[in-house]
Amino acid sequence: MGIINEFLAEKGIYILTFTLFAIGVYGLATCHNYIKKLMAMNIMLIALIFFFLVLGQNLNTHGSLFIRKSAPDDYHIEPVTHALMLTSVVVSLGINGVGLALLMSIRKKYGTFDEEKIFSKGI
Amino acid sequence: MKNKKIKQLMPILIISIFVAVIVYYMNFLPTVGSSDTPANRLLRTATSKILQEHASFDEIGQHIVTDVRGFDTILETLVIYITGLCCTLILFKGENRKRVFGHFSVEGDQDLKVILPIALPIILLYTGYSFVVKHSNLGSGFKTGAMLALAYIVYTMAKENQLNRFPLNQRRCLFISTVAMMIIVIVASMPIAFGGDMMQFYAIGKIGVIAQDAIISFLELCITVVVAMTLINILETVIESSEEIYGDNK
Repeated sequence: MGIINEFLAEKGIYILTFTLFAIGVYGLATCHNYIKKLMAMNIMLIALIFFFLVLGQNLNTHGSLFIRKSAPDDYHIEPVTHALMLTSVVVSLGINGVGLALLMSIRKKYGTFDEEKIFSKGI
Repeated sequence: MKNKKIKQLMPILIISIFVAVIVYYMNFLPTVGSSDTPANRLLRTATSKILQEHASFDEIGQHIVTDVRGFDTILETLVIYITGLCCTLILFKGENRKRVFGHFSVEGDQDLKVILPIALPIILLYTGYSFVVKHSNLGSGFKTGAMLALAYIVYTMAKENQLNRFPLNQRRCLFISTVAMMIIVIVASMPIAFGGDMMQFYAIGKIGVIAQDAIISFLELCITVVVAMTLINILETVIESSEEIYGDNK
């Protein structure tokens, strides 16, 4: 039990991150509704962002949460990783916007978001 | 029925295998919060150095977003703009499109026709000053190129104006940037061919270093202008092609 506790304390967040990613992959592969597929893709992206942010943590210091000019070597969270993930957040925003606009066009033409019904009507 | 069951079970099976592989390789990942992660090992000294030398206030996050990765932020803004444009093109058709894209019409923007004769010389003058004085700074060529691209964008949006010809068009910029890149490649490869340090190779000393900086800045300028004008051409092509595809269908 102690080993499990230790393992979860050291790497438990990774398990949660990969679980989230796996949920996204499952949703993308199995859902027939395009809106749900888009949501699953978002879940995958959030899992990846979270994984990257976890790598920027440092709990071995006793300083402040974020870097300060008065104590430049003593902080818990690396701000550069957060700044880099802003780019992926912006890209996900773009993907969602264009994806939803395309889905609205599909809905207007076929009357449904369901993949099987669209294929049965013929593209 | 059997096929349907296989279809339902197959994704679960594949994802289970995937998760098992991931969990196995998770043993090789660093402990959460340790100092051994790549971000903590490689970035910490660089972040501290940047904060000491450049930042004048405590909020380093803002400093990183606007200064250290400033060009990433500019490109993100461009991504958002293009996303909005794509969404508008997909959703708006017919009369609504003319209402939204009216200012891209061939006749040009009336307000810019008034501003352009005043603004364009000032932009070009500052561009020349920035290039001549600050060419040795990092990224100065990109900044100068961005200003020059801005001048071209303003000119493009106000087409029927008193200026007949803009000196840099896309083809000339491509040619200039190709020549500049070839010069850079030749100059950079000379130490590899003949051996020795770049500084020692320039027998004329300081003038050679200044010339090298100027060439690099000019290359950055050309690349930025070409990228901006290519993006404008892409936007114009998208608008024209969407007009052909959708026409006046509501």
